[in-house]
Amino acid sequence: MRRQVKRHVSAPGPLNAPQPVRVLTDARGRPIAVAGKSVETVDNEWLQEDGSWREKGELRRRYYEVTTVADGHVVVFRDLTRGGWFKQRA
Amino acid sequence: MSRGVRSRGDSDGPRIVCVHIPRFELRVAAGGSQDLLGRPLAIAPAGGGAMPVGEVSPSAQAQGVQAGMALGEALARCPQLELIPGDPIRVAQAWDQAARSLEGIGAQLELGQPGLAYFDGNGLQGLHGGERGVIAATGKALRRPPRIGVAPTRFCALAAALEARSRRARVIGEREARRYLAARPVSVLRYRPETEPLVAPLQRFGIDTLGALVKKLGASAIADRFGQPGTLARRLALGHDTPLQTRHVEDRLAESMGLVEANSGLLLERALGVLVDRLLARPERRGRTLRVLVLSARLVERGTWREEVVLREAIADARRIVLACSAPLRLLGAPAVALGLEVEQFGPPMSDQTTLLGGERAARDERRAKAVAQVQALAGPHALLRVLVVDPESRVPERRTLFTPWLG
Repeated sequence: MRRQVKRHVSAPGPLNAPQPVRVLTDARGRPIAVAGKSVETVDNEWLQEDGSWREKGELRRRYYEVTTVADGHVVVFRDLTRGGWFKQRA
Repeated sequence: MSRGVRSRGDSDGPRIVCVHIPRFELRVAAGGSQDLLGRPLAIAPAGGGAMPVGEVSPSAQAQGVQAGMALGEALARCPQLELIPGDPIRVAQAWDQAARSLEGIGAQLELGQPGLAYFDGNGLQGLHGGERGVIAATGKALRRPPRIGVAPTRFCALAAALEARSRRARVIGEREARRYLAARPVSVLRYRPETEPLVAPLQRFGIDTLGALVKKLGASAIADRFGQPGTLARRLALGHDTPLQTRHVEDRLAESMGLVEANSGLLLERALGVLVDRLLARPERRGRTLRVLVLSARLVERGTWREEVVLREAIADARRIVLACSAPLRLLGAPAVALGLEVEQFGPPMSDQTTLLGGERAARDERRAKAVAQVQALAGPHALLRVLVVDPESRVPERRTLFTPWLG
């Protein structure tokens, strides 16, 4: 029986687009689990702001570089303008 | 007969309909606000040279300000003059929409400056029930009632439209055209780019009407003093004109892209490269080459910028197109937040543009192009993409590199 091969076809657009990810946080809003994997340490944290002079398209993100048990180093951010957590290679 | 409809006695020559929407650019730039047009307004100079103002409102005109007047003089005549930035992109879009509405009644248009269009109404009379029907259909096709002039030639129709009131067309019969033109002011010549520079010198000579132009300046005298534009002006005043050059309706093919931190020339050129790739990858292009492109940008400050790029020959080579379009891009007066590229005119289809003496490299490129075409045919146009480094220094990771279509 022939197996159906799932094709992955990208579309024109940004190469390193943020991917939504499920993140659990502690009371201070820092990640304690990323995609179901518990976070061992939060190694780095920074705020990214851009385009604040513009009416639309302002960008505000809180980045966290964390180490998880399963995946090692992972960079996630919380979108402070629109909300939600995303994973991205920084 | 001058205000009526053509009588049976006239011949079956062309009946040119001139559609004129006064102050079209100003209306669009002011967002169509009638209240705004009641104030002394002018479109701000685009920069460079003598800084001439653009179209002016009736209130500004009443205080002596005219379109094309130097900004300093305009402000001296009307200190309350308000300047609003021009919006060439919205003007082009609104004018194209109006033109398509007119084409919807069957008119084959020759487009002048925004707000001015001509077509031969003779062929449409059967469709709309005579000349009166054509005029009515023309008025209904547009959202705002235009000034309509109908005459045997383009220039005469223009003179009639400039004189017409908004809901009453001015119709000139063939026999009276020359007499009618003789009484018109020489300022009508301002609406033709070739004869526009003649208006001021003629007025300085005391020649105020087209009749005086013909009477006081003979053919050789006007040719001696003003050259080819003078000869053309005399021919126009005598009721002769060239045939209409109607536009060929093309498919609209446009691409645009939002930009961030767009104050660097390198980033703009990279974005332009992406737009060119996207345009060339569009299936609607059907292998056709590109001849005329329109480059547009929305600026960080209020306002837009638009520039037509006429390629020396019709090509479909992305690198050459980017090279041709990047020169005008350097003239942008302010950082852009969006860049657009539209095909204004296509050239003939041409799938192969390989060089005559390409050698091994050309053969390799050809093999690769075939391989790309096969992969894209099997897996879709986005199966193969190129990674383009757009802004490697950007602090936002997803802005550094882009996937763009791979063109074999």
